[in-house]
Amino acid sequence: MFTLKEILNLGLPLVLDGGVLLLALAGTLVGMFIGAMPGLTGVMAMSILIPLTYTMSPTEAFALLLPTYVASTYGGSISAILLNIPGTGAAIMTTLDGHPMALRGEAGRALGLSCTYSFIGGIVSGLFLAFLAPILALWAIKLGSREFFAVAVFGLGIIAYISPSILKGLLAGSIGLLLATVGMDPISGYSRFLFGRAELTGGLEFVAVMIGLFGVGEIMFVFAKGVVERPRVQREIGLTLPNLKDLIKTIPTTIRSIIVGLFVGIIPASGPTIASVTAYGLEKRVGKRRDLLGTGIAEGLSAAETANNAATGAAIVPMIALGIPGDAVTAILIGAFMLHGLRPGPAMFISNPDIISGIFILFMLGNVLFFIIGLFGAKWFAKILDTPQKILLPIVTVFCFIGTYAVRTSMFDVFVAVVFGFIGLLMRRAGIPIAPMILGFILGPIVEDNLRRSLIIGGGNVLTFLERPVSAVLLVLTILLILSPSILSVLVKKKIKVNIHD
Amino acid sequence: MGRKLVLIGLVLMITLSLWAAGQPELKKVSFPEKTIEIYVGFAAGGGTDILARQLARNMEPVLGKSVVIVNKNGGGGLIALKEMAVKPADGYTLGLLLGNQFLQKYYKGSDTWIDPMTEVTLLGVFNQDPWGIAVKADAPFNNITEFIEYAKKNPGLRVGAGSPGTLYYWTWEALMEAAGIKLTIVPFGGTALSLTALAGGELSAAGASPSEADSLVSAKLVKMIGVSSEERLAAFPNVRTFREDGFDLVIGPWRALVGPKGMPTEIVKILEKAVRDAYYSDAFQTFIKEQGFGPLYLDTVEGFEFFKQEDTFFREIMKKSGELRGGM
Amino acid sequence: MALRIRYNSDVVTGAIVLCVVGIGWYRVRTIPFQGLQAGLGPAFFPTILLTIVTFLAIILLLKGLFFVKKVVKSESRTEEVEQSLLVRILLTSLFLAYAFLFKYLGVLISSGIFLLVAFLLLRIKPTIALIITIITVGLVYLVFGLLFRLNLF
Repeated sequence: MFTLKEILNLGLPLVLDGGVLLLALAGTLVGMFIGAMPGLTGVMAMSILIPLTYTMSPTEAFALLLPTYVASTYGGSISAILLNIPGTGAAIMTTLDGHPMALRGEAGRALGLSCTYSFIGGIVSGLFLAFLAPILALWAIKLGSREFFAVAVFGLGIIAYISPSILKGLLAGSIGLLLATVGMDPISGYSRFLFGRAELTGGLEFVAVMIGLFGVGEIMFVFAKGVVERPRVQREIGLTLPNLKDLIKTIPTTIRSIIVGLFVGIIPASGPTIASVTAYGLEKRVGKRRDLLGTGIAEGLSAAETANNAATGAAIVPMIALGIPGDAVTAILIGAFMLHGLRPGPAMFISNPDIISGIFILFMLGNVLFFIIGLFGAKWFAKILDTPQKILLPIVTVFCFIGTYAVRTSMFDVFVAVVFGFIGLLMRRAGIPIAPMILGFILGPIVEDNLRRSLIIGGGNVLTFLERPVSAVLLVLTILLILSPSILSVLVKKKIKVNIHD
Repeated sequence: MGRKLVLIGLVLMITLSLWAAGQPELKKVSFPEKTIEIYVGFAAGGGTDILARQLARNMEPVLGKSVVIVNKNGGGGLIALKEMAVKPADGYTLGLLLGNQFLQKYYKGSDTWIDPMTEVTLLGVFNQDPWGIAVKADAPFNNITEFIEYAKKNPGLRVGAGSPGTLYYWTWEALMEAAGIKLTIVPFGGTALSLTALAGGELSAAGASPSEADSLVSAKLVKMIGVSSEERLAAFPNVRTFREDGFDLVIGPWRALVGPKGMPTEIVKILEKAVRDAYYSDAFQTFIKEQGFGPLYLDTVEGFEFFKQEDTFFREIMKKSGELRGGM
Repeated sequence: MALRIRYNSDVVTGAIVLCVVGIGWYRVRTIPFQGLQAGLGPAFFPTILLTIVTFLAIILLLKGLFFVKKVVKSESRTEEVEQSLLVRILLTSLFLAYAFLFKYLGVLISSGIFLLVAFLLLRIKPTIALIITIITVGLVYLVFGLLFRLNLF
């Protein structure tokens, strides 16, 4: 573990180099662009950039990769707000409050807020990464299947809450869970619902499903309804600098979301998407203005965007401290280490403290860069809304298709996206909400795998979940939180009735 | 009318087949004339991808054309292989074959598979990673014999692996079979996750190669009690082999370069030489030593013999555990 | 007339979901169950979910059939829709055509055709349509083909 002075002494000389700074700027711009492009995710951007880092020094490689990672997590919110199409998975929850805000003519406010919340989440997680990584990692490693199960069940609990019709929300959510069972079952190795297609062995590609439902489906819906140009008021951009009142009002939400983001992010195989789902779910249950969530309020943006960026730093904690890849992003980062003959882990803190310090500084730098560019650029990004729909929508379609194709150069995935586009169109026509379906799709495998793995570990004993303190506490909390709004509402109703009778 | 069509069709077919028959004569002159693509069924930056890129880089000087990696991840490498197998067998589209393709062929749980014996052309096996056993740093056993002793006294020890659709699961099965012990195999989504669970205390042991476990070993959270290779690895001279401790089990995931079936012999020869020269190049040898990849090179003839052994091995082990696909 | 179709969207949804679930029930038979100790087996989770989805779909269907509330349509279609029904159908099916072209003509040509046809259907001036198409395709080539080295063939 290093002190601030050591980090600066060791890391700054490496980072303060024209080439490194230029690469960091390039990484930030690429990350924001890729993040904002529907279908192109940070993971993909990094795996595309990795071959380019062959000839670079390790510091240069991370100067390109880390800002790409953090900026793409923020960039996803730009298209989520402006187009109602999440640019990355982590921005799915951002659509719920960001887009209604933009429709009210407050696109600038939404962009400014999401940028600031992302920055706050990112910086705090960067601090945790730099100063507490070894301790956090040793603690995180103790979390196992039973704890992951509890966290995922908590996330699942929100499905019923984010839909105007509980019946339709539950239906969409369970279909999403069912869709997630397609592919090779990771516990038994059995193929399920493959219909003989090898492309489905790894399950339906997440990006294809997300882009299909949100992107292609949304555009098809507009086309089928007939393209009508937006009224002037919806094109107003409004102020782009974040309103201090908004930020102060949402401090409790922001703090909660940072904690959730750090906690969920550090869990292996979790990450920014699940962090923002969980934080939004928590807000929906304990937030002061939880009933207004989904109508375009700052708390919604805070929950989604603070949490997903808080998870970015937390997700690389186990990799830096112990050399364990937790998710796709950290697996790529470990690949970048390996390319340069380095092995992340405790040994690296002794053998290459300068590179480790450089990584911490670069992580922070990425956050600062996207914050500055994001705030100044917000007005410019929001101009997208000025483009006539008739021109904008076909172009966005092209990027949706190519983004889906680019994930693993697969034509099959493009067809999956179109099929889910039609499903999204029909769902919109029938008034069935999209978000619960994609949430079920994300959380399903985590719930199923960890439930079954826990049972194997516990020798078939269902009570195994209560054996470990963290999972027991989490499960009890989950049950309480799932029940609490209904208990609360029952209590409130009673009070009102009593009042009326008086 | 119909007769005329048939006649025209016949003439066309004959012309076409004559033209096609003339083709190999032309091709023999020079290969390669353009960029060669290798389909890799794993994401960029992962172990297989990095190794494949290193091989491709060192094949380039031999062939005089660029060799590029195309990532088509999914299905444990199967998607990339399936797409590669239907491309023209002209040597410009190649793929990677891994040990688990034999497994998928015989495991009754998998719906789709490719038969490595008949559906691809082997160009060379260029790596075999050792399989090893990692245990908690404070575990009361330090080598494979002590582990087996302990497992005999405590049946049902929890060990981590992938699902039965992956290789590491069956290496545990092979160990149980060979040693006559009973373990509970807990499937995880990847070696990294099972190693984390081991360090966290959910498991007593996890299957991993020494390089996969290396960072946790240096964190003093886990230790390696042995590897399944024939000799100790240059990168990890402290890790004992199973053979040293009197337990003969040589097993581990390997990687081979393949092309679509029915490739012309001349092109196979050229590519076989390219793989061999790339493998023995200094750059490649240094790379695998530094990164802890296991050394193995087999040319097409040796490799095919090796394939036959693998084929029987997986068929037998699936049969014994009652997981053999019907009709195999 | 339009109102009636809107009422029945619950019935239609329920029926479609039930059909899809039927395929699921048919396929799930071949997947085995296992005991608690073996972690319940691959069929456990899909079966539970199929049951839930079937149950919810039947409720939705029944609700649509028997408990139709007199809903006043919130957004009556008074606003002008420029495109005729035919154009709207063509635009929607253009997505499928795009996917097929994508497979057989490659990324660049298919995207060009899609953009041009979509713009013309939306009655954008041919010259402007052509210019935007060329710019977009050029951008795609620069970013994905040259920068990211994606296989656009």
